[in-house]
Amino acid sequence: MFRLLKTALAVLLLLVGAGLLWLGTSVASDLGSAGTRTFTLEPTPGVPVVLTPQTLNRLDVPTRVSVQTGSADPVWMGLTSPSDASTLLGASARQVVTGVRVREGTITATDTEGEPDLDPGRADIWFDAVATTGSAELEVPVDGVPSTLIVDAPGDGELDSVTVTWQRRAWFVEAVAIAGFGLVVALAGMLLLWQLLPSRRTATEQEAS
Amino acid sequence: MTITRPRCLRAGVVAALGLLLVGTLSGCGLESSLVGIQPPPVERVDDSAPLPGPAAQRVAQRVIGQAIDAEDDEVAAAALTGPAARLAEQRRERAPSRSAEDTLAPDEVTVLAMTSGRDWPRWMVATRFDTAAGRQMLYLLVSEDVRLPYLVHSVVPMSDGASVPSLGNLADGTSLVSDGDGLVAAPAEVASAYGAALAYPKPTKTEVVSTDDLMATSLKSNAAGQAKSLGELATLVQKHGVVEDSVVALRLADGGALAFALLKRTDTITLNEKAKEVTLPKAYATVAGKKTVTDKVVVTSLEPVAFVIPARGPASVVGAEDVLTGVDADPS
Repeated sequence: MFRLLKTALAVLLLLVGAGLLWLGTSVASDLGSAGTRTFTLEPTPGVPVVLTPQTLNRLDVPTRVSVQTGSADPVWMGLTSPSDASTLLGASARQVVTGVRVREGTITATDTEGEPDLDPGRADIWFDAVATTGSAELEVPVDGVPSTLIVDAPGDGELDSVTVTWQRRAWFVEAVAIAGFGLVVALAGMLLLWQLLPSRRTATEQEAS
Repeated sequence: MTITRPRCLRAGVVAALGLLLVGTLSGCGLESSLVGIQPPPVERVDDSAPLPGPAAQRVAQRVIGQAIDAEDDEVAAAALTGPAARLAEQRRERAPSRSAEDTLAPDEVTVLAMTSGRDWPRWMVATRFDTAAGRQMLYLLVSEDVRLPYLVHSVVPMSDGASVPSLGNLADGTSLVSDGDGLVAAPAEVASAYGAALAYPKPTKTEVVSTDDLMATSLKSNAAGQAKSLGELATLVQKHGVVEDSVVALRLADGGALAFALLKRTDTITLNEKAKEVTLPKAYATVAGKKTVTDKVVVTSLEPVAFVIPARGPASVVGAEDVLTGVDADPS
């Protein structure tokens, strides 16, 4: 009975260790040594994309948001407080980012129907803003201030993609540590299993006698 | 018969189990410690300034830069509103063009305070040293709506040696002051009392505001001197009224208030029966378009004034100027 339990434990350690080793190595290779993870959204045509604090302010590292438009279409990004963003957006149609799918590297979002055009006017509500053509990038700092980002392609322009990137070197280090830990656990399981092999056990007993 | 195992194997298994256990138990704090996920910060809607300091700085720098240009350029006058717009219009008509050296230098503007909360209108107080004039300037900016930019509402040159007490932490914002709770009087009453105290020949004594500032003393001595020079030829009556809706005050950190007001000064010089005509001073003649008057002359000026109303004691003027806006010779 005791031997059966030990065998089960050895198999469990081997499986768990192998699993952690696989998880750690695959995550580490995915993140790269800089610990970078990118998520992409395919925007709904003709409406601004809104990223709320639930996405922008959830990690202890800055959030970098990049936008691509078709050819040289104008693109505009404005970072403001959630309440001011809500007031400005009013009844405008929008696509609100709700989260990310880690495995797929994609962004989830919901569409809200409403007025067709966003009119930011000459508002002075922006913590930071970018207005350019083609592509744009804006970094949301970690300063404890909740912020909402509005991304729009004014006029007839269309957003091709919105990409959110986080870079956290600790993720890579942690993934390597998990892989190393998995390796230790798997090796321990293998050693225990090896000790319990019938041929090995007989040899050991003969040596002892 | 005894079975012996290598000690290292036993230690390895125990260590692996231990690490596995620790790893499993630490799962409760896994998100924050390993992944770095944190709950999103909650917005302080009521007791924080609507813009972070650097963003407010950029806005003030842009708007005040446009306001300076506005004295030359009518299009740029869109950066002005209220009293500042009225004064800039007068300056455009009378003052010589500013030189290129007057262009705003980067980081020349310092934001002192913003009103807290997320409602409109939103107010901002900023300051800069005007190298051309050699004076520290106080600016009051306002944004009326979510889609409208900040505009310069009031510009007041500070008096030499005057200072404005702290308006508190920029990130926390401050509040508007409309009544006299905790003050010697409401801001509008202070402005009104100051104007009445400068009237000539019958000033109204006041306990709520000091009138020993440079503008007040020079106005009083000039009025007395002018009346004396007119002698029996004419009489001078000078009044200083508060322009409607021009008073805006923000709470100081110590409980006092910084108030901006626009006064309208009206000098009426009425010729006596003995006088046939009076020759106008050159500055007035240029504005009036005639050199002499036979009946009376009405000279109007706008006076942007900044008051500090302390939590205790009378208010004092920290900045003021007098800008000639019109001379009406022999009005019908």
